[in-house]
Order: sequence, then structure tokens, then C-alpha cells
Amino acid sequence: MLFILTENKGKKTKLERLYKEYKDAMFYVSNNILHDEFLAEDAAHQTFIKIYDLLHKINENDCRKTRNFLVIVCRNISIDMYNQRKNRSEDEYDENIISANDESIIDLIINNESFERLNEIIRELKPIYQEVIFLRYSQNFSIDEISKLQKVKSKTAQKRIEHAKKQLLKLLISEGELYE
Amino acid sequence: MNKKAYVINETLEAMLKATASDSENKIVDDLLDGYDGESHEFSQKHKDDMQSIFRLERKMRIYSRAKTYAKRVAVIFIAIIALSTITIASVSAWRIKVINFILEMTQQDTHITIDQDGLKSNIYKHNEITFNYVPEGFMLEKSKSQNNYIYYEFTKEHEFFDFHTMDINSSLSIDTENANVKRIVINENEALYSENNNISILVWHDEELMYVLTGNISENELVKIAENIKIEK
Repeated sequence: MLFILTENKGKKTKLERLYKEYKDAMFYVSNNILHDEFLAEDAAHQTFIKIYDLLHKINENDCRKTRNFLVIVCRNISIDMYNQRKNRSEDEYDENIISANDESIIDLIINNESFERLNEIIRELKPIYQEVIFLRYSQNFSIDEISKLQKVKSKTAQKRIEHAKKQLLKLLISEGELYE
Repeated sequence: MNKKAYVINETLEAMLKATASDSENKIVDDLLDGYDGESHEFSQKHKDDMQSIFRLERKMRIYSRAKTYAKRVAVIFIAIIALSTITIASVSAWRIKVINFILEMTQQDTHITIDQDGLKSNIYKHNEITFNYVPEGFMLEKSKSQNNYIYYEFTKEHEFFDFHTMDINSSLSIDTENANVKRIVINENEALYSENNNISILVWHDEELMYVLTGNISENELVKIAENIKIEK
């Protein structure tokens, strides 16, 4: 019997392929936020550490989705780093409950223009809430997978999603069209 | 949740599923506005940091590969290769033909769960195989048997060990980068022990089969398990 020992140095791992493909885009986004190349590199590095356990969720064939995922995660890490550098506290939950009456909200969200409005107001969400919305509804992550990525308990991940949805409703209402 | 709240929630969910992807595209496009694919020359520290992650991923392959071997029902062995260039030591005691192999998955995993009554007093016996020593607390998780291919997986919380057999005509590829590799003896048979990133692999053989034990347990335990495995043929 002969045992063959190999190191497989020639074949790139999935992480290496992702890094090679998207590192510059991630650096670009991060550097635009941090204006510090060293910190931007660190943000890219931290992004790969963060996604390591969720590599199976990344479909390399869907380039745009993969790019979006990596860029959004990297952007939010960069924002966290920026806030830490400025001694700013992290986003806090706004626990205000939507107070408009339910019928009004239903009228609003079934409006024909709702999709476009929703598309716009997602952009107004704080980055951390944008991230959970995208992870959940665009990247199709489960609650457990989101909690794993964000290093929080499942309950917290769920709470963030619920809060993001409340914020969206609130923003929809504040558009004012409902009451015109 | 009342009916109206339910409708609101379900409607919003549906809308988000329909629009989140577009919104994500727009935001990322905005973030990358002005980016024309230019390359940044990353610092050496960053490169070193990234290499650490890549090494970790490569090392973890050893575990997943061992699991893959064990879970594939069909294995095709082909391609005889040259002997001399890749031996790790003298092969005088290993006088068996050298064959390289290619794995080919032909069907999905099938798992058989065995009743835990089979595990008594650290002895596990099932069909033709007896584990005369199983470390305290380990329970059978999965087992599979087909011709010369046998697979057993035992777990205890975050610890595990797998045992599987392979045809003697096969060979095994092990990632040994930064691994501790040595030759030991299992029941008078020469064996190879490799430890890498807390995953250990023990490989030995007789005239018909190659045996592979993989786990994140100590070398002593792995050897003790190996020495106490009996297979009726």
C-alpha cells in the first residue's frame, strides 16, 4: 500500500476565487467610506472572515448576487469601523410601533406605485437594516444564517428584520400619499 | 396577530421578495459608481492575513474530503501512476500495487440510523463489524454498508470519529500541509497517522481492505479504537 500525500496548492479554493474576483470592488467601496487604505484592506479581510462559515450560500455562477452580498457586508463592516473611529454608538433600535390605522396601511401597500416606493425607501433604511432585508429577501438567507453572519442570536436577527419591516411601513406612511 | 396585521405582514413580505433584489442592485451599483475595475496593490500584511484564511479553508478540506469519501456509494478506481516520485518513505513494507483513484458521485447520500441499543459498555456490534472500544459518551450517528465499503460515524457533542473501509486497490490523498505525519503500528499492521488542524486521520490495511479512521479526538483514543475494531469476513 502506498499513501499519496498532496497539498493541492494548484487549485484555488472558493474563498480564494471570491477574493480574487471581488477584492478590488470591496476595497473601493470601503475606501470611499473610510478614506483610509489600511482600514479599507482590513474591512475586506474582516468581510472574508465573516462570510467564511456561509460560503455554501454563495453561488459563484450568480456574479451579481455574489458581488452584492460581498459589497453590502463589506460596506457595513466599513461603516462600523467608521463609527468606532468616530466613537459613535451603533445603530439603536427604534422600537416605535406603527401607529397609523391598519386599513390605511393596507390601502397604501397595495397601491400600484408601492413597489417603486418600497424600492426607494429601502435605501433610506439604516445600513444594518438594509443588510437584513437583503440577506433575507434577496439572498434568501434563513434567520439562523443571518444570525451566524451578524454574530448575533437568532432572536436578535429576527428582531432586526421585524424592525426593518416596521421602519419600511413607517417610511411608506411618511411619504404622505396615503393621506392625500 | 390579528387578520389585518397578518395581511399587512404577508403583503410586505411578498413585496420585499419582489423588490429587495432590485433595490440591492441599485444600492451596490451606486456604491460602485466610479469603479472601473482598477486593481489596488494590497499591503503585505493584508496578503498575509488573507493567506491565513485560505490556509484554514484548505486544511478544512481534509475533513470534508474524508466525509465525502465515506458518503459516496459509488467509487471508480482508475489510472495507475508512477511509484517513485510521491512515496513518503520506503515502501518495502507496503508491497501492494499503487493506484490512483477518482471519486465520482452517482447518487445522493443514504443514511441508516441504528438504534442506540446497540451501544453497550463501550462495545458496538453491528452486522460484520464490532467496535470493542468506543470512547465514553460517543453514540452512533450514521452507518452504511455495501460490499467492501463500510461507514460508521460516531459523535459526542462537538467531537466525532468516522470509520470507513476502502478497497485495497484504492489509494488515499491526504492534505499534509503543516500536518504531523508519522508511521505507527495497528495490530501488527503498519499504519499512517496524520494530524492537521485538530483533525486526525489514521490509515491502515490488511490483505483485502484499507481502513480509515478520521476524527477530532486524541491520537491515543483513535489508536485504541482502531486496535479494537474487528471485522468478520
